[in-house]
Amino acid sequence: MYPEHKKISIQRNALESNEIIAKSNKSKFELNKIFVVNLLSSPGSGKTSILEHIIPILKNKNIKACVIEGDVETDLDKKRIDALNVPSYQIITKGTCHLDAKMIDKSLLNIDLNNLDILFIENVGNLVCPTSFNLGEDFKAVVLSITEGDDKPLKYPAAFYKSEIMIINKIDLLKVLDSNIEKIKENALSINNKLKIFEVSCKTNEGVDGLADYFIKQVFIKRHR
Amino acid sequence: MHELSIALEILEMLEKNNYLKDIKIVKIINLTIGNYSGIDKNYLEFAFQNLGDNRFNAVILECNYNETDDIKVNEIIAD
Repeated sequence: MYPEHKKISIQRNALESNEIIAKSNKSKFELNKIFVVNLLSSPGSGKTSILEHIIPILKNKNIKACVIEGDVETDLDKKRIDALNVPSYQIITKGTCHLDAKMIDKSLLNIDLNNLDILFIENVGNLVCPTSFNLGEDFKAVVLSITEGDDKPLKYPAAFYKSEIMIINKIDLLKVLDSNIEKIKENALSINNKLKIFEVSCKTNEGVDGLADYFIKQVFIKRHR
Repeated sequence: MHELSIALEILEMLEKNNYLKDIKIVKIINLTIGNYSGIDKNYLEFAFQNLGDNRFNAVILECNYNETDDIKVNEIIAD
């Protein structure tokens, strides 16, 4: 077809460089038996609020948590996490729409991995870009709030396809909105039928204990693996 | 901007593995893009053409699609 040109066979993963660093991150987490969650969502769905509610429950169970915050600008979320008296590290991406494995690798230099049970990586608020980059996590958790509409799993399938759990947040607003939670679940499960679903409200605390219990269980599974 | 990061990752992979040695112009990149990869072919092509690397100024992407989240580079056609 292009006889005058060189045809070079490649057959490689386009994100090979990221994957190599992600594997190295993962081996550090495995060595220290740290359970790692990569939290994905659109901006404002409540990732930080969920952490503010979950982390005190984990602390009561003597589970040591740490948060890596990813934001385009500001350390506002980190300050909220700092108020919980747990270690945190802020990555400011300055315009980049996702975290990558290299950023996490660098941030691990500032985190005491020997003294940790669970690491939450709060990715940049975006349902598209963060899905492509493996950070070395155990799994991705996608947060979707009631206000975003029931069509989001269909519009942003990658985030739901690649996640192990979906957290539907702001369920207290079901009383005043026309959102159909059953439709959200149906649409998400049509993309990924293995998705484990949690319904929570950070306003009323509904469902928060159940979600915390799930993370506690994951920490114990990891510890005894 | 997502596609720009992907283009940079691909460039890094090609450089690291010496695929671009003695290459002046990359004409075509053949890729497999999973439907769950979140990649838009046109944005990715635009990102390559605007990387600031003259070898990719006029590159064209040829894409195959599948039902995965893969992003795989199959081959390049170059001068």
